[in-house]
Amino acid sequence: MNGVTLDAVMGKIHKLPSLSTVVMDLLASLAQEDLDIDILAKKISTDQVLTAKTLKVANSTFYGMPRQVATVTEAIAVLGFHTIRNLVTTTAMVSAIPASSRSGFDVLHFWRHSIATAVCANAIATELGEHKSQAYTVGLLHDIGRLVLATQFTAEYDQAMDYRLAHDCSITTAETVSLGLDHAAVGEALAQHWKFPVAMQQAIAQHHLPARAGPLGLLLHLANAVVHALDLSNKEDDLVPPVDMLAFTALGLSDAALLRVFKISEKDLEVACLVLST
Amino acid sequence: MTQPTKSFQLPLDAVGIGMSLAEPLMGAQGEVVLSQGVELTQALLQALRRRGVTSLSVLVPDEGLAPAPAGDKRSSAAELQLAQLERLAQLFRNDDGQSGTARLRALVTRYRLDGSP
Repeated sequence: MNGVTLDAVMGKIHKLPSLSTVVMDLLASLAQEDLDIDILAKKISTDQVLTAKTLKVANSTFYGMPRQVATVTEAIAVLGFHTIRNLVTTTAMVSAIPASSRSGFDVLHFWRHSIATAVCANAIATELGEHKSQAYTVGLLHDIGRLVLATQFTAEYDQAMDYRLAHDCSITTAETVSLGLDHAAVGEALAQHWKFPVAMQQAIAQHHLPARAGPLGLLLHLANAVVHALDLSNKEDDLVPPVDMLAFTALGLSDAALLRVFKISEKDLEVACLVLST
Repeated sequence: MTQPTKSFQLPLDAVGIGMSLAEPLMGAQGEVVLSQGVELTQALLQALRRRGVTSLSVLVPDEGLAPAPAGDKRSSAAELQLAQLERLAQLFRNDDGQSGTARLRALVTRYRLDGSP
């Protein structure tokens, strides 16, 4: 076994490029009750690259804008703060960790699955009428530990994925067997380093441990499984992970609500993935 | 001529009225509860649910599966559904028997069978 320790992971995490203050502020805003949208819009605007990318996606015909927008404030006025914050966060995160070209890890598949989980988690939160501000981002970043492992421990992670392929087992099992830790633990470490709201740190840590998870973790557990079951990641050897009944009973979603979640997830995914092609 | 059909092990919730049993359904003592080919009605499905049956091996309605003139919409829709059911079986290939996994599978199967593409 070519193990990876949590200490080694922490060492690498501290050497990652830091997130811009704009993105840190956006993440912190997910747990804020009294949010000054104007101030946040001004902050986003100070990051020109981020703003340009966001407006390019917001202006694409898929968003059905009645007119072209030129500023973040205008985009928020037309599409709503919730949508724009999700769009900015996705745009920023997709480029937050530079991909390693040596790895066999498919970054595009990774982000497609992550965005699909974000869209699905958001749809579940909408049905519940709860967790609306955090569901999208926690879905987007639930597997971020995989990206850290694939880019910072490339050889070890390639071996873990070879093990997965050979045994056709879950990613978590392959990581635990070949590395000694899994992506949820690494994701939790990164979420702490990036000062995510505590509920989001826990949800990322527990998305494969539903028995220990809180409501947001259970929501994430279910959203992740739904995305695998709906085949939204476009991955030939995709596999639905075990689903705990607790995710259904604790969240209390009716069959009709879940069928709506399936439909919305499929419908919204392509638009949400536009970020990947800009 | 026999119509081409395909059998699927479906969660009970996903079994539609009018589908028929691909294999005889056996009881705990090895007795035949329902014979192969029996068409499933609402009453039968309710009775099976009361008996605690959770899944059935069924033949998907075959009228759309018969070789049909090119462009026959019903046929291509049925073929698409078949392909989707096969893909679902592959995605759930490591089914651990957890009730949550079974519930998700039943729901997505229902979604695929009901959903008009």
